[in-house]
Amino acid sequence: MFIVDDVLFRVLGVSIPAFDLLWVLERVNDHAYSEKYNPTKISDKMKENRLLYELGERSAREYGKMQRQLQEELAIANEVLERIKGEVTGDYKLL
Amino acid sequence: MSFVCVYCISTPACLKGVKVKGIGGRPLYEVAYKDVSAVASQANSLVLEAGDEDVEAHAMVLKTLLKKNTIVPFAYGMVFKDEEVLLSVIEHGYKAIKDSIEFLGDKAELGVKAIVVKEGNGVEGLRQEIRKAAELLDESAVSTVEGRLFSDKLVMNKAFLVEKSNVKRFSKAVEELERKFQQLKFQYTGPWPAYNFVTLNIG
Repeated sequence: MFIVDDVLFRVLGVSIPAFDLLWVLERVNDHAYSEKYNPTKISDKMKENRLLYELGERSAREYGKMQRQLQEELAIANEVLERIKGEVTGDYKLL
Repeated sequence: MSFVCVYCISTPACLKGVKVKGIGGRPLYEVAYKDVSAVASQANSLVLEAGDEDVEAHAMVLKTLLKKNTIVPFAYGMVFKDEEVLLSVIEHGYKAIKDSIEFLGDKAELGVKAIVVKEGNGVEGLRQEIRKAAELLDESAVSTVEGRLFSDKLVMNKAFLVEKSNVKRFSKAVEELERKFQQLKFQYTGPWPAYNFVTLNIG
């Protein structure tokens, strides 16, 4: 309900400082989410890790450790995205 | 029920003397249509999971066949309901397949990546410099495809289709780049199945 009110105020050109601050915080939160749970970015890091290893810039141990960490991050990111997708679908069902 | 997993299309008898196995250790066989052959193995499902071992097996089949044959590679996971469906696809795409085999016949796909290993000029500056210097490589190639720069350290990621007779000249040009850009490390790979230069749209 809050989001609808917030959007409504914005459409009407009404600025309420508390809502503006919340709006900014939501955008920051969204941005942080998309940075942290971005499968493409994580896959890119995996490719970079592989390339650095193949070129001898990273030891087998460093490579393996980093790859395991990134695989975990990728699994979490995919799960988070699935959940978000589920929530969005749920909203549409309610509408 | 057994499905048909396809790796590539090549010329008949391309599997002669080839010992490599397909995904899951399954034997490879040819499905022939006129003067082309699809290289296939049986599969248990229409959808293959992209496990490391299976993807590696797919790549190994292509790599092995590429040594002595011209191949039109298929992406991992191309599974057909049965041979009849596969043959119908080949029949419909026959001209495109023949054209691709002819086009790729005397050419090899090679890849060049370069990353920054010593800080100096900015990465963006280096990207521009190397783009200009890489014209030397372009001259030896029939066609090129720019790959995505997936890392901040990456200044070059490019695929080249090179006439086999020109590979030596191309390799020398890569060496020249390596000498010129000491702050970079180059990865020069291939020959690869020509994924970047042949696209068969099925369906």
